[in-house]
Amino acid sequence: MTVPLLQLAGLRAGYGHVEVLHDVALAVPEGRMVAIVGPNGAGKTTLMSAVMGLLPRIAGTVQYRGTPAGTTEAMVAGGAILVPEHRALFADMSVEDNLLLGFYPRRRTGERDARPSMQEVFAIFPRLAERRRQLAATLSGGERQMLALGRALMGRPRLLLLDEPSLGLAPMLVREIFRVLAELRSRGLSILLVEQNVRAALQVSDYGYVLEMGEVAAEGPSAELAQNPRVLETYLGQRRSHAGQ
Amino acid sequence: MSRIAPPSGLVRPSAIAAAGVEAPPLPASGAGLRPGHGARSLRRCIAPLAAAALIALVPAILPAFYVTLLGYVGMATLVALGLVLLTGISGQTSFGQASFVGLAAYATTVLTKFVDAPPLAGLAAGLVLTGAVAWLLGLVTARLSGHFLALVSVAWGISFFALFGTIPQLHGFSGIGNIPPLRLGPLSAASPRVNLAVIWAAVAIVMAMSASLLDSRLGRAIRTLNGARLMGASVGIDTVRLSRTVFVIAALYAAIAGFLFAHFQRFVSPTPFSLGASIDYLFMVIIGGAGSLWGAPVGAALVVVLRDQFNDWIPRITGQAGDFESLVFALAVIVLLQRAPDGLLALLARFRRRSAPHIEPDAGAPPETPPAAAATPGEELLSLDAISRNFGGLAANRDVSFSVHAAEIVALIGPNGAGKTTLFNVISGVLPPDSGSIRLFGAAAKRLSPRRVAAMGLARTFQHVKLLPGRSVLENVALGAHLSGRAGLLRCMLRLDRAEEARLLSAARTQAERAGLGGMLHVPAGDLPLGQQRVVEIARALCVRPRLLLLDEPAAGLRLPEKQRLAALLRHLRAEGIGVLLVEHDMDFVMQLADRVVVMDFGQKIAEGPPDRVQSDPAVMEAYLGGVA
Amino acid sequence: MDWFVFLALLQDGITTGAIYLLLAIGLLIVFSVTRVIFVPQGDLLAFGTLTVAALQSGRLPGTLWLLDGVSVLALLASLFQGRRAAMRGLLAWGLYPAAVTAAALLLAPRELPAVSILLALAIVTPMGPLIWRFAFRPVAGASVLALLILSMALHFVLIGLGLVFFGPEEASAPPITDASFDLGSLNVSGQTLAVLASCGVLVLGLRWFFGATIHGKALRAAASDRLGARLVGIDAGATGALAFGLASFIAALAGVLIGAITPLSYDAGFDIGLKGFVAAIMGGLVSYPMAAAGAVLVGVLESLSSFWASAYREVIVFTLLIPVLVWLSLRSGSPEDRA
Repeated sequence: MTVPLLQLAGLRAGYGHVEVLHDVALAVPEGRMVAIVGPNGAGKTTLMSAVMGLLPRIAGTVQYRGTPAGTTEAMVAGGAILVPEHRALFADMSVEDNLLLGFYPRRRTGERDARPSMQEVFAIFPRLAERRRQLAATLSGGERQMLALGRALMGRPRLLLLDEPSLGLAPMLVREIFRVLAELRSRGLSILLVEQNVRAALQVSDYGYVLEMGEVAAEGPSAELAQNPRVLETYLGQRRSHAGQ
Repeated sequence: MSRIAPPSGLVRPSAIAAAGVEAPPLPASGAGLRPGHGARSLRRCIAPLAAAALIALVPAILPAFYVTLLGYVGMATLVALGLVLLTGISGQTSFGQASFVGLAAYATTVLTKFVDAPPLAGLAAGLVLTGAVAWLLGLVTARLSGHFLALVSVAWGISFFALFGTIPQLHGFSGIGNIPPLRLGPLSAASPRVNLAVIWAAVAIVMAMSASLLDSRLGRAIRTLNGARLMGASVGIDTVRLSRTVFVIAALYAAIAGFLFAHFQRFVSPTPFSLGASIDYLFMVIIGGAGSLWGAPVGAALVVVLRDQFNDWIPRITGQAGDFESLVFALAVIVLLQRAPDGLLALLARFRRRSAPHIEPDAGAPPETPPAAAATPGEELLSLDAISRNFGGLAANRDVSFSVHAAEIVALIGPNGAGKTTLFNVISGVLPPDSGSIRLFGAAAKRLSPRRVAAMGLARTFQHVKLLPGRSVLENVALGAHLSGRAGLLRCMLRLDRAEEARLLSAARTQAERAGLGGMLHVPAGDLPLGQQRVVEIARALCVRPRLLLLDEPAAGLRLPEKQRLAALLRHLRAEGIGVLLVEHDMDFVMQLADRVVVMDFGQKIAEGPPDRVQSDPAVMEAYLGGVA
Repeated sequence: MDWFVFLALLQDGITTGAIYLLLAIGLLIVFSVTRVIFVPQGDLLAFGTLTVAALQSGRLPGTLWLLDGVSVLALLASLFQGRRAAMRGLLAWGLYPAAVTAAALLLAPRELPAVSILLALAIVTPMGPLIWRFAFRPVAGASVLALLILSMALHFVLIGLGLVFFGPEEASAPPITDASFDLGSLNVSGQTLAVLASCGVLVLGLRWFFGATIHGKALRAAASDRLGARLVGIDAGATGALAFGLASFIAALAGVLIGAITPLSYDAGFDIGLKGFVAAIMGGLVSYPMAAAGAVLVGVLESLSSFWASAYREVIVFTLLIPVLVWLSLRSGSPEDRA
C-alpha cells in the first residue's frame, strides 16, 4: 500500500495555552480529495494551520510525502499550497500580480516563465482573465475566491489545502468552485478540503472526516458519510424533535 | 543626548563609619500579627511596614555615593511609574515625559529661589502647572492613535526643551544653582540622606496609589484602552476622557519627580529634560517590563546604575576619544531587548510556570437573580427600518427591517458574509448606517455612540472575542458592571472604593456563576478555550443589566452540555423580560430556542418567522443550508 | 520680505523637502514590510555625508572598517546556516566588502568626487541589511513599541560610532556640480537641480522596481499580506533585508546630496530623519503621495521659519505640526476601526 501524501496521527495543536485539536488522525492518499466537515469552532482552521506549520504542533505527527512535515517554508517548497480562510490576497496588487506571485515558489527550481501557467488559470477562470489588471480589492467575493484558488494553482501544488472555499459565496458560485475542484481532482491533484457546507463537500470528495470539538467524530467514504443520518441531522439542522434536551 | 546622571562634581567618600548608627526601632507590634487574623491581612500590613522600615533605615547606613545614586533611581522610578500606566497599561506612547519633569523643576525653582516661597508652594505650583499643560495637551492627544501620539509627544518634548533653554529668566544652559533644600517648617531635608528618605517615601506612596488604582474599577477600565477600546465603549467606559486622565496622572507623577529633583540636586538646567531623557524613561519601562508597576523600579534601577557604571569605567578604559558610554549603554539596551522583548519582569515570570487552570464544570441550575427593571411585555426594544450600510462598494446591509421585543429571543441567521456582524455594529453604535432608521427603547438611535447605547441598556458580545486575556475571568466579567460603579479617581487611588468594589465583584460573580463559569473565576481569561471565552463575554454583558442583549455566535465552540446550559440561561433571561437578538450558525441551538428567526443573505433579509416556517422555506434552505444539486 | 527672497526660501524648502521625501519613502518601505520605525535612517544619512567627505579628503572612513567588521560576523553566521546561505554569505559578506575595501584603498587618495560618492554609497548601503540581520530580525515578532525602542537604542549606537569615526566637526560632501543658473532674478544652484533630479530618478526607479520586477512585487506582497506572502514562499528574512537595504541606500544618497548644500556633523542626521518621519506620518505611514505633500510642507515651513526666527525654528516647525497631525489622525480614525 502506497504511503499517503499526507498523514496525521495523534495530532494535538492549539494557540498558547489553549489546545484546540486533541488527537486527530487522518490521511490524504495521493490523487484523492479528502473533506473535513464540522461546525464553527471545531478546529478545522487550526488543523490546516498545524499541517502547514503556521501553528506549533504540540504532539503527534504530520507526515508529508513520507517525511515529517517541517516549517511553512518547507511545506510550500514541497508543493503543499494552502488557500486560507480569509484568502490572504494581496489586496493592493492586480489580479495578474497576485497570480504571478503564486508562481514564486517555482522560481527555486529555476523556472522563470509564468505565462503558460497563467493561461491555464485563465482557462479555468475566464472571469479572472477579464479582470486581470484590476486590483484584487475591487473584486467580488466569488472572484476573490477564484483568484485565491488560481494563485494556489500557479504554484503547481502536489497537495492543495483549502480552508472553507464556499465561505461567503452565493450558491451558484459554490457550484462553480466545486465543479472546478472536481475537475482538478480528476486531473490527479490531491486535495484536502475543510468545509462548513457539508452537502457540497461530501458530494465532490472521495473520503470524509467529521471534526467535532477538536476530535474526529466520524469518518468514511464520502458517499456513505453523506447518508449517515447523524451527520445529516447534526450539521444540516433537520432535527425536529426536542427529545433529550 | 543627556540623561539624569549625578552631576560630575560628585564626591565619593572613601568610607562612612557605620558604627554609631542606631538600630532602627522595631515596627509597632500588634496590628496584623494577632493570632487568628487571615493571612491576607498579615501580608497587607507587612508590606507597608517593611517599606517604611527600609525607607527609614537604608538612607542612614548607605555610603554617600549610593545615597545619590538611589536618589536618582527613586526619582526616575516616579516618572517610570507614570509611563507604566500611560504606555504599558493604557497603550499611549509618550516621548515627552521629561518635559513635565522640567516644568515642575523650574516652577519650584522660580518660586523657592526667586520668590522665597516655601517648597510646598513650589510643589503645588509644579503640580498645577504640569497638570494644566498636560490637560491641554491631553485634549489634543486623547484621540490620537499610536504613531501620531508618539510624534506629537516628540514635538512638544523638543518645544519645551527649546523653551527652557531660551527663556532668559531661566538662565538657559548655565542653569540655576543654589536652590533651597526641602523643608517642612523647622524640619529641613538639606541632608541628602533625609532627602533620599523623602524621595523613596514618595515612590512608595505613588506606587501604592497606582496599585490601588489598577486594582479598582477604573483600573479595569484603563486596561481596555490598550487595544480593546471598542469593548470598553460597549460597557459604557468613556475611553477618551479616561485616556486623558491617565495622561495627566503620568504627567503629575513626572512633576513630583521634577520637584524632588530640583531640591535634591539643588541645581537645574535644561539638559536633564531633553528628548534623550524622555527616551531614557521609555528604556526603563520597556526593559523593566511595561505591563507591571514593578517594572518601573527595576527598569529605573537598571538604567541609572548601568549609565552610572559605564560613565565611570568606560572613559578609564578607552581614554577620551568619544562618547563611548552612551554607545555601550545603547548596545546593552539592545541586547536586553533582544533577550527579553517583554521586559525583564516578564522573563522572570516565565520561570514561575503557571499551573494548568483548574476548570470545574458547574453543575446545577443557575441561581435565582432578582429580575432586571420590569419590562412591559411586548414592549418594542429595538426597531430597524430599511437599514443600509456599504463598505467600499460592497453592500453589507441592504434595506434590513425587523424588530425585537421584550421577553423574546430573535435569531439572526445566514451564511458567513451575509452582513450579520455589520448589522450588530450598526445597532450598537459602532458604525452609523448609510440610510434607514433605528429606534432603541423607543428613542431614535441613529447616531448614538456605543457608550450611550450601553447606558441605555443594550449589551453585546463580539464575533472575535474581545477580552483582557491576562486578567482573570472575574475581572473581565466585572468590566460589565462599570456603569454601576461611581468611585472616581481619588477614591480608587486611596482605596476608599473597597465597599463598592466588593459589591461590583459580587455582582460579577453572580453573573459569572449564572453563565456556568463559577469554577474558573480566577483563571486568566486568555487561558480558556475559545468557546468558554465567549461565555465570559456573555457574563460581562449580563453585568451591564441590559434590557436588550446582542449575542454574536455565543454557542460557537461549546460542547453539548455547555450549549444546553447556555440555552437554559437565555430562556431564564427571556422570562425576566430581557430581549435577546442572537447570531448563530448552530441550527439546532437556534431552532429550539428562538421565538422568531430572521434570515439574511448577501446583506438582505430573505425570510422572517417562527423557526419551523423558516426551516422549511426553500429559499432559506437553498441559500443557507448549502447545496450543490 | 520681497518676492525674490521668498522664492529663494521656497527653493531651499523644496530642496530639503525632497530630502525629507526620500527619507519618508525609505521609512515607509521598511515599516510596511517589517513594522519597524527605522529611526537610525537619519544617522545613516549623516554617515553618507561624512563618509564621502572623508574619502574626498583622501582618508579612509571609519564606516569602511565598520562594514568590514560586521560583514565578518554576518559571514560567520551564514556559514552555519546551510549551503545556500553560506554561498550567498560568501558573496554578500565576503567578496563584496573585500572589493569595496580594495577599491577604497586604491582610489581614495585620488580624491575624485564621482569615485568618492560611489564608494560612500557602496559602504553605507549594506549597513541597512546588517542592522536588520543583527538587531531586528531576531525579534521580528515583538510589539511595535519594543521595535521602536530598539530603533532608538540603535540610533544612539550609530551616533556613538559616528563620533568615534568622524569627530564632532561638520563636513561637506563634494557637490555633483558647481554650476548655477539664473532663472529671472532667482539663482538656482546646480546642486539643487541635482537633488531634485535624483529624487525624481529614485522615485521613478522605485516605481519601476515595485511595479515591474518580481522582487519588487514580492516586497509589496510581504507588505500587503504577511500570511499570503508566506504561503507563496516569500522569505520574510530576505524581504526585510531588501527593505532595509533600499532604505539605507536612500539615506546614503540623501546624505551625499544634501551634504553638498549643508555641512553636517555626526549627530545632525537625527533631526533630518525626524522630519522625514513627520512626512511619512502625514501619509499615515501608508500613502506615498501624502508623504510627498507632507515633506514639501515641512521643508518649506522650516525654510520660512529659519528666515524669520532662526533660534525658534525647531519650536515653530514642531508646534505648527501638532494641529496638522491631529487633523490627520482624526481623519484616519481609531486603529480599532480597521480591525
